[in-house]
Amino acid sequence: MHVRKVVIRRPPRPRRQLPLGSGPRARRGERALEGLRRTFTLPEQTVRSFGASLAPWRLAGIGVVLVLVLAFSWVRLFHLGPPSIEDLRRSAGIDEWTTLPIGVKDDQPGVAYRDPEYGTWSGFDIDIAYMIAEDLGFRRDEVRFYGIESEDRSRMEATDLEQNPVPVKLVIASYSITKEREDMPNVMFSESYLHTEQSVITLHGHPPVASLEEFAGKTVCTLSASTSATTAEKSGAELVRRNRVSECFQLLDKADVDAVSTDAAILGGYKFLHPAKYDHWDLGDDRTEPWGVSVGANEALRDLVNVTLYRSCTDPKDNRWETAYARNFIPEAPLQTSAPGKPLTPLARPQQPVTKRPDVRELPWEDLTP
Amino acid sequence: MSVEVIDRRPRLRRAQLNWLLTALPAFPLVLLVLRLWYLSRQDLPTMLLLVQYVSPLGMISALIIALIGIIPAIVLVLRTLGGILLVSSPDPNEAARRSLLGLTALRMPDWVVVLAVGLAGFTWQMRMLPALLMLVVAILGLTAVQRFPGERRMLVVATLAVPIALGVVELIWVWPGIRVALSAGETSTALLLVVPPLLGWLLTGPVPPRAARLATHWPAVLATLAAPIVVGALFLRAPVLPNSAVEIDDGAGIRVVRGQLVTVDDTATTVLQRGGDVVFIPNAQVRSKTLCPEPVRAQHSRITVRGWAVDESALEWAAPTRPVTGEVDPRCLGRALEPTTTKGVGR
Repeated sequence: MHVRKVVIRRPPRPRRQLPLGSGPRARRGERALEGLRRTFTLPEQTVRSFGASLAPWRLAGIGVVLVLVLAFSWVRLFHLGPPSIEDLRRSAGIDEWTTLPIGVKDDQPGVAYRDPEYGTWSGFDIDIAYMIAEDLGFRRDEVRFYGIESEDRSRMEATDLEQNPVPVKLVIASYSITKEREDMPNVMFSESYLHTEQSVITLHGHPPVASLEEFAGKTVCTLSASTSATTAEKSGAELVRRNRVSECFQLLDKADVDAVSTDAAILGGYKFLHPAKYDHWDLGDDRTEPWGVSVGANEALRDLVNVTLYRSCTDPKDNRWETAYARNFIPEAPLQTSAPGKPLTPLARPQQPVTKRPDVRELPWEDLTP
Repeated sequence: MSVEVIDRRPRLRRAQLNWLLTALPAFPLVLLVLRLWYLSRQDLPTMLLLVQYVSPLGMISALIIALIGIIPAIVLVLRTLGGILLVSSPDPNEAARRSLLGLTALRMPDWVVVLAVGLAGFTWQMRMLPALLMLVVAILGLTAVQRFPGERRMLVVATLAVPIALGVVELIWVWPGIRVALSAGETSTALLLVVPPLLGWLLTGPVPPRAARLATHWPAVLATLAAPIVVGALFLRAPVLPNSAVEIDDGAGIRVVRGQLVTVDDTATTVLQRGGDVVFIPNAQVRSKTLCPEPVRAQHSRITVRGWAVDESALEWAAPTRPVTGEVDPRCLGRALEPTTTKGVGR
């Protein structure tokens, strides 16, 4: 038997023709390129939604809104900004005080005078003190006045009727605001509540004087630790210093001194009480004595006093300052002359000094509706 | 060629929602307990005394009154930010899947938004109402863009004409208030009144897609993280017990005890003083009692817009309030009702 050997050759399997660039290296390259394309090209815009042209501005608008919301909530939560009246009252500690002790002078008629017979207090400083105490929430019966001497004003130490020392919270004692006093440790002034000037008073019949230099060689009594003392020192007169102005006037009455020199508002009261005994002369000094309230180290209390003074100055319905001036200084004004027809010595400026608006969040009386 | 994507993320999202729904009611309860703890100055016996006498209804009403303005704020802000996110992304459903904010905005029913707007209109202060109008206008425009993307004329009206017209009318209406606020120095009120009408028309469309998540999702996340702290700070200061002053005469003179009145029973009056001490005053020593207004008055603005004070809400304006007199009871300031004059010293 013949076995035919047939060799069947299968046709060669066609080699798969790989496209150019599809080996493993090419595939890695493709993947890298795809990643780069995804990162750095925009997606294809399938449907542009309405308003997409304003999109970057919108983003800026949202940013502005977010920043404003953050700022607003920060301010509201942490109460940034100037303090309110309640905050000032709490820092000053006013709500813990049952009475308000104030140091005032007690022997200056027209400014601050205590009647020895009835024990009542009267004068411009007293009226201003009642005005400030009323705004702080103290009734008239809760205000205690204590006499204070000129050199104790910087230490805020007054004395009561039994001569015991009493610390006071406010000093309203014809205290002029000066830079040296402000630098002292326990003195902090509010804004000024009266502008007056230095003048001189002599016994009746003294030749007219226009400056303190004319007293060179003569004796002049003035208050110790006062601004009038520094001016009188420079004039060359012989100075006699006393702690209380009534002592100066006792010396003048006995003719132990030739003149008394201090603020015109103080001297005016004595001239008003005894118009025939004294002559009140206006000095040619352009320096103003601004009287202020000293609060010691209590800054919040100073801001509260300034609120009262600001209100009295700017609120047209508040005329407490004008009433105090009219009650105390206007009756004295016509008598401040050596003879009828001679020039009048001015006592104090008849308008309240302009007060700056204190840094408070809101002022209780401000009503901005027309 | 479409690719089938098996997305497992919805289940994770549901798990997150479950945790959120658990934490949500626990938060007010924790607030109430913390309020008592804060009131008792972290002293356990004081807190036990307070728990005996403080009524839960009183505290819940204090909580509701303190928070009632915040709930519509949360709803409306989330709807607006989510709407901007949805409109800025090429596919709203994809955006909703990636972000809880987008999901909230997509699924929020319209009646919830209307209710929130109504509640906000009644309880927000007057100076926040321009901001409310801005949010309403933004939500309307965004909803129009999202649901009817093809109709150009309607979209022009809804996203440009209506917001600009409303902004102009609103500016004319509040203009006197802005002028007064600027002259009084209250820049925050002036900004609140002037910025929303100017920016309202701008927020009714998409932002660049790449920045969408940064501008909407992340601020919402940060606000959600800060919200419990802010709400807690607001609520912990709210009063729970009535603030009162009790005038007592204990033989050594008349003095006034100020604090919060806890309870009065047949033998003693219990007062929680400011420093956290509790005093039991025998009833024989009590001369008089009075209720005092809150010592910390909220920021009180004197600015009005056409007769409506800017820090009053519509509810306060419509509902009757106690007339505020200028007189403060002297007992609330720590002084006796009848001033006593002491003999001798100084006076």
